[in-house]
Amino acid sequence: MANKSKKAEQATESKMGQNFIIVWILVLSGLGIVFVPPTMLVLIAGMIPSFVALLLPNDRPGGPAAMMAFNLAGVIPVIGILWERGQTFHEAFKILSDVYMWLAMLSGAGLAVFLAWGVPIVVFAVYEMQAKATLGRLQKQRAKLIEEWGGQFVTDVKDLEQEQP
Amino acid sequence: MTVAEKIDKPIEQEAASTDAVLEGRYSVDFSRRLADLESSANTAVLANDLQDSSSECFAVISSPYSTYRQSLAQLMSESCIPGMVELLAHGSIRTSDTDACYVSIFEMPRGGLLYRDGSEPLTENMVFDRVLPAVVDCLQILHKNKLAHRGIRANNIFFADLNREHLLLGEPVTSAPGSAQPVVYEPITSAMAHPMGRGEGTPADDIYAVGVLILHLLCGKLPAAELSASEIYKQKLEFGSFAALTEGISLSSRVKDVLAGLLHDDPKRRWDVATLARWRDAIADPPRRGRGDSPAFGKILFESEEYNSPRLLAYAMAQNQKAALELIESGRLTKWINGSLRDETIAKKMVLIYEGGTLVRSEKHYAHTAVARAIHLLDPDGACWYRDIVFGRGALGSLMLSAFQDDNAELKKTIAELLETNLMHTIAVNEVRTDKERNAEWMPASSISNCNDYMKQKQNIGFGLERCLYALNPGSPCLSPLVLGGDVRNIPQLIDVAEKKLSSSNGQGNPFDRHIAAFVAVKSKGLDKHLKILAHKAPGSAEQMLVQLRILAKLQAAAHPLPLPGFCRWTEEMLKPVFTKIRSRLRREIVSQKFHEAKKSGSMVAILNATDIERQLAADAREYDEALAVADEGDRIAVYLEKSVEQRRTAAMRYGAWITSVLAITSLMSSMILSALYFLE
Repeated sequence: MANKSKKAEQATESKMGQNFIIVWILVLSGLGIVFVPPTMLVLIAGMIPSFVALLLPNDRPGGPAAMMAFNLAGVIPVIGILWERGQTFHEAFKILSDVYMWLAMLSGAGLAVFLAWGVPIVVFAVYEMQAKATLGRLQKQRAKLIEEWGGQFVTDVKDLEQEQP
Repeated sequence: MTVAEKIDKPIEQEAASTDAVLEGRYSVDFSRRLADLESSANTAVLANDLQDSSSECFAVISSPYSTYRQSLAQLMSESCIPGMVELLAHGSIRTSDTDACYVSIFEMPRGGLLYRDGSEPLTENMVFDRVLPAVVDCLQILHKNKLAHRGIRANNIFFADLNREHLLLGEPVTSAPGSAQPVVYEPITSAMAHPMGRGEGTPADDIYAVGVLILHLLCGKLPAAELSASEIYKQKLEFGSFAALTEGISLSSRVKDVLAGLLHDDPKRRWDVATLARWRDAIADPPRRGRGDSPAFGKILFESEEYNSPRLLAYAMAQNQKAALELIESGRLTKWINGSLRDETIAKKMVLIYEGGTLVRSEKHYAHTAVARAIHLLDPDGACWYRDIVFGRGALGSLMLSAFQDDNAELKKTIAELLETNLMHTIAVNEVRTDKERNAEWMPASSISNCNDYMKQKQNIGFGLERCLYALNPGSPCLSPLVLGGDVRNIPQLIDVAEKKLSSSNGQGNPFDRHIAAFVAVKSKGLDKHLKILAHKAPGSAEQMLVQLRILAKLQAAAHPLPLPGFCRWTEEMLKPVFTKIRSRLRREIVSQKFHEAKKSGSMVAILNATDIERQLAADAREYDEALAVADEGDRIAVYLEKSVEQRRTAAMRYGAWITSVLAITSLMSSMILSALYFLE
């Protein structure tokens, strides 16, 4: 019961944090649309994978945040190019029509998806290897003990295990 | 002080002769037995004097179970006793590496026996002029030294020479005193005692035997031969020995007078050897004839018979101990002693038997002890009756030897029971109170209490009846099956013979059985503490084995520092189960290797030091417990790892997300910094 209420509290806190971020994003987006509309156009277009990720149900902790960070990392150089070329709608549309610019912006999101999928698998594989190595070491240790102490040792160990709750 | 310092080592260890030659002079021919010269369990064989071919001698080979009368042998060695075969030498001779025997060499009586059963009677002149002087000559020396011959009988008198002129009494040293005597030769005090338990006796017993001897030789047959031992005893008590033995026999008046003096039942009124020597003068005033046991003033009914003789009553009570106890507890006996014997002291002591005092009804063996005490009060000079054993003063040791020789379980059990009670102590205390000179006549006071203590621990090795046997027979060889026949009389000899036996049998045998443990405990001081430790260990356990080894190692160090490969082989056999107690294979191999290296030295001390088994066993047990704990912990970890795949997966997800987040933030920061550096330049 205590754990459940704690989890519920954590979920509520997380939702409140997300709402807080969304509010800030909306505020900043509103300000951006007013003062730098071409940049905002490129930014919103480039951040579409992140918005999709936000909308999709995801139980992984920090998954959307990582996606947004990677996505943003890909969009920032494109915005830099826009700013270098002059911050106009014409240049913004030109950039949005350039496939390489899309590639640059979406590759970050792609990388995020790949890492979010691949890293836990790799970590799990490492964990499994560690566990197998430990099991192997324990088996060797047991075999050595039996070799040293004889067959009675096995019986005594079993008895000991049975005695313990 | 160590055990080593306390072992009784002979000052000059008697070196056993080899090649069946004693003292380098007397060779013993074991194949030529001389039946006429044998008595008890000993064997008489021909011997040769290697230094004097004209001398003829014979050897008596003592049985390990026979009692050797050391004080008499010493007197015979120190002085020539006329009228008795001369003891030329005595000692141990070795017949093989492991076999030895105790041999006594005597001068051969060349003329043979004076009298054989069934021979013609001797004439009075022959008896009084030739036999009697020879016997008197011998007894004068012995009795002067307060020793008794205890073997005066018709078939123990020999002619010293081929001309059959001089007579000699046979040897009395190689067997228990009086053990070869027919019952009739024994005075009332020892007549009913077990032949091996008649005791040293007194010079008066020899005088009595001379009386029977005269009668025997003159009659040409054993007096009262047709009667059983108990019939002889009862008739002697009823009519007196003189009357009982001479009834119906035609004797001259001088013979009757001499016999009256010799066969008097009261030792104080019996002739002594000085009177016997001048018997012709003595019979001028004819001695009074004994009339058996002094009758009481009134009779007492016991088992539908009336008794007025305390000794006859005592005998009857010994025959029916259950009824005897009823008689004692009814108080009728006390009344009879008070009223008819008129002895208040004995009556008071009798009351103490059944009204508390030193004996309590709840005490173990109360009934037998009470009856034995009552019999002793009624017959204070007689033998001790306990259940079905009867023995004289100082004869319990030789009786025990007999019990062990015959392996008589019943007799051993009864003796053990007797030693467990405080009967001997009570009797000894009663006698000392009456007459201080009688102190330690039954057995030394220290032996009584020691034997009582030994019997309290009878289950333990080194104690019990075997310990009492060696304590009461300090000159007896060790009777362990391992060294029996080796004439082992001290610890160095014990180790030597046991070593040879173990070597020849490749370590098979037990050099620490009950006999050896008891023998060693008696011959060394300070070993009891080790024996007590041994008693606390479980029989057959490794701990008990190790204590045994430690004791033997101490003995080796103290008494026989030479290598003992036979003992080491035995040790190996004994340690095999101990080694199996070591669970660690590696440790077992190391300890075994160390043992084999130490075994080469032949030293049990070295073996114990090198193997250090106790410490190894303790370390092994400790490490085994540790190994069990490690294995248990390992098993629990393995089970956890096998069951925690999902947990690992969850952990991997969490850790993967964390890594992804770190990478995301890093890439975002890098992108921002690099873009700023690039585009804001």
